[in-house]
Amino acid sequence: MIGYLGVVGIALALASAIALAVDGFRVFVRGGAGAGRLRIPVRGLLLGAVVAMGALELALLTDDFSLRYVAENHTRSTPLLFTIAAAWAALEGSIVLWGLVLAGYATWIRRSVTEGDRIGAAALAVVGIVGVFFFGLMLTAANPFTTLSPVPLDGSGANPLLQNHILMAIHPPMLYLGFVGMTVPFAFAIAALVAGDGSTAWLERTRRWTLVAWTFLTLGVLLGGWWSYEVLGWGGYWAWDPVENASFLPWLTATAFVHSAVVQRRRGMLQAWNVALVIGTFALTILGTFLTRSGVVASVHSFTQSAVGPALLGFLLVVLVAGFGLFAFRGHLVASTPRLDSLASREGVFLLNNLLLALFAFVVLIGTLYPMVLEAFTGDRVSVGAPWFDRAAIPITLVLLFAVGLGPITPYRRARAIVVWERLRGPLQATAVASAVVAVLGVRSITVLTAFAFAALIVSVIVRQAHATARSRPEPYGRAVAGLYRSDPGYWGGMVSHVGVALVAVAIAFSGSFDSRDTITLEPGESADFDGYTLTYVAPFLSEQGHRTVIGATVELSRGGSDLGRLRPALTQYPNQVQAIPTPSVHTGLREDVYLSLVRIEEGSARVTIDAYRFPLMWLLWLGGVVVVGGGALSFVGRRARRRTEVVAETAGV
Amino acid sequence: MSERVRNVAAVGVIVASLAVVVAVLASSPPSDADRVHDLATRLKCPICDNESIASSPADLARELLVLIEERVAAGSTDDEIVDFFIATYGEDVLLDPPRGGRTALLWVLPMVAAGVGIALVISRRRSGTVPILDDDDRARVRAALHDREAG
Repeated sequence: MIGYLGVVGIALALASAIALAVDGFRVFVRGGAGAGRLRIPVRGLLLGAVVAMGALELALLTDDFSLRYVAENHTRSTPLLFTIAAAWAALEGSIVLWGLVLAGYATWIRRSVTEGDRIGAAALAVVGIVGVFFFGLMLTAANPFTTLSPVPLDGSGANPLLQNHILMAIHPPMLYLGFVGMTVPFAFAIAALVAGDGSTAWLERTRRWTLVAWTFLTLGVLLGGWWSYEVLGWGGYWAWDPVENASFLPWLTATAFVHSAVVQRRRGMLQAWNVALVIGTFALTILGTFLTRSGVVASVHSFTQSAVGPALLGFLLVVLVAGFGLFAFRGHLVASTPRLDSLASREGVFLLNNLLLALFAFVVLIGTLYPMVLEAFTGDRVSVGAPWFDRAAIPITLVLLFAVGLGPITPYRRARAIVVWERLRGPLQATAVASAVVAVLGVRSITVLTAFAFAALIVSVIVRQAHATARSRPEPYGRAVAGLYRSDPGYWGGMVSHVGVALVAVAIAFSGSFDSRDTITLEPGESADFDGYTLTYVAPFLSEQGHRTVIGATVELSRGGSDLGRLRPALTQYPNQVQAIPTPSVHTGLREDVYLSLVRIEEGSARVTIDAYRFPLMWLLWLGGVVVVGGGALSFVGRRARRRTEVVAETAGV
Repeated sequence: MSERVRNVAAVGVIVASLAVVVAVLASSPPSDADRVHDLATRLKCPICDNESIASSPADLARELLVLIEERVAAGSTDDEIVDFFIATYGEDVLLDPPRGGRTALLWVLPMVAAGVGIALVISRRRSGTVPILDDDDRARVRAALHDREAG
């Protein structure tokens, strides 16, 4: 029964998406007349998507094992949270979630489309076309409501890795809010191309959506890293796995777009480049979905094999051919005439940032796809792993950090050396002294020192700019500092994100260079030393938690006689899986994390083997990530109190 | 403090700090590179997807880690150990693909992309000179903005 309801929802959404595409285009051709009518198909789209998602959740919550999806991803013993999250634990359900998010964004766009708005109507038509593909996929290759006969008494449950931690319930929706959100600037960019509208209107309109999507995408990538660290137990947060890269690629181009959009709004430049970036970002979100959901990459995320792969690949080709074809034929209509006055300018730094991010994305893209393409065409197997990615990523990131530092103090149009020096003088001193202190304290790696120095430069430049801006304002200094954010939320939100980037850079450099690891085997009651810490194996433990069995070791952690508490690394056995899932246990300190992952407990003797890791400054990584996300949120929630105040600030600093 | 004093002081602080950094880096003994860990991160665990011997929890990865330790202790060079792994498990055991052969493109393409990017930047630059505001103009802009602020 529930299955029929779900199929009806999908069919309604599909019909609405078709109507939206056709009607939106018709309204566009008529110059925007009748745009208000588009309300109806958008409502249908949302209603259909809500019914489909609701039916899927209902089926999961009522243990309706007549549906194949429920039988494969749910058991009677699955806890409530993971039952709800099971709706996006596998391919079909995650496409439903995708469709729901798309319908949500369509509803939000529709509210801004008024009578006579032909660009808005065309954008809704593009959203409609994207909707036709995804809801069409749900009715055919990825139907979550196909039935099973005979009906099993119980299901087999989702991949255990996906029901081992609360983050798995949150990470995919966040990522999808980001991925699907990129449809909005894409739809408006295509609309501007089709209309041949060379104004910055589409950019102004989509600014908030782009920032919302970017913020969620950042949060999704961050949560993915955190999940990897907390759940996978291999002692890291990033492995350049193709599936991680799939989420990182659109993040890179979206980040480039967020920056180059500023140049277009402020100086009317890079218009065509922005359109290309947006098309590329959208294509990368589809590529990411293809990589994660088609099973083309044999990795922990790619737990599915189905006809969806070819469909997604086909859609990717359509997006690339139609998007860049349109761009090739009509790009000149939206291209901007102003050219760069000088490379030594704010625009020049933005351009450097964009080219580096684009190069970064290109490198990650070929490193990710090369082994697959080579194997597909020649059958040869090669591996491209962390050492290869690191070699390109480290220098690109270092130059990017330097650009982030320089950006805010570089004037638009043309930077005179004397002005730059005057603004940079203070921050450079702070940076140099901080670097010297860190070197004396024991940091000997040139890469780490450089990353630290550039991070210090980023932060001190922002402090200097805040100080100089506040001082140039007529109101008292304290009030001026407090009022900075309200004077230009977009700019200062961005600066907050930059501080977060600096923190993340320091954390990555330190944790990657000064970590240590050891494998320790202990009998109950025995102790071992690990890098200045003492690990004492107290006792093994075993607990049956309904749908799973957890075995683990209680380990006492101490350092120099002071007790730091107990860690409980464990192995979790799920009934549907042979391999047990390690659940690491982490002690987080101000200096460093101590991270224990259980390898095995021998039956009988209860002797344990534990992988012990020490990672410096991990808390700074998560804090920095939260600050980046917070800055993104600040940049779109606040409305500008007064216009053009930053012009005053900049000129006053000259 | 005059501008001149500030400038000299700033240069002094920066140069002195950099001297400290250089002195510290130069005086520290070359760190004993952890060859075993280094090799283990460059070699793929043969039964895993994209996981190095260093990071994989698989039993085989652990045995191979011990094997690397033994070879390093016995005095084998890095190349000898890597060659042994290629001979045993095939070339895809290398997480850092070789610079020639069928993975040459992986090394060439990023360089080409970087070159195209640099060429693009140079071509985007406007030829001719840029009018620069002189100090009088700047003063007028400042005054006008100040009036706007106040009024």
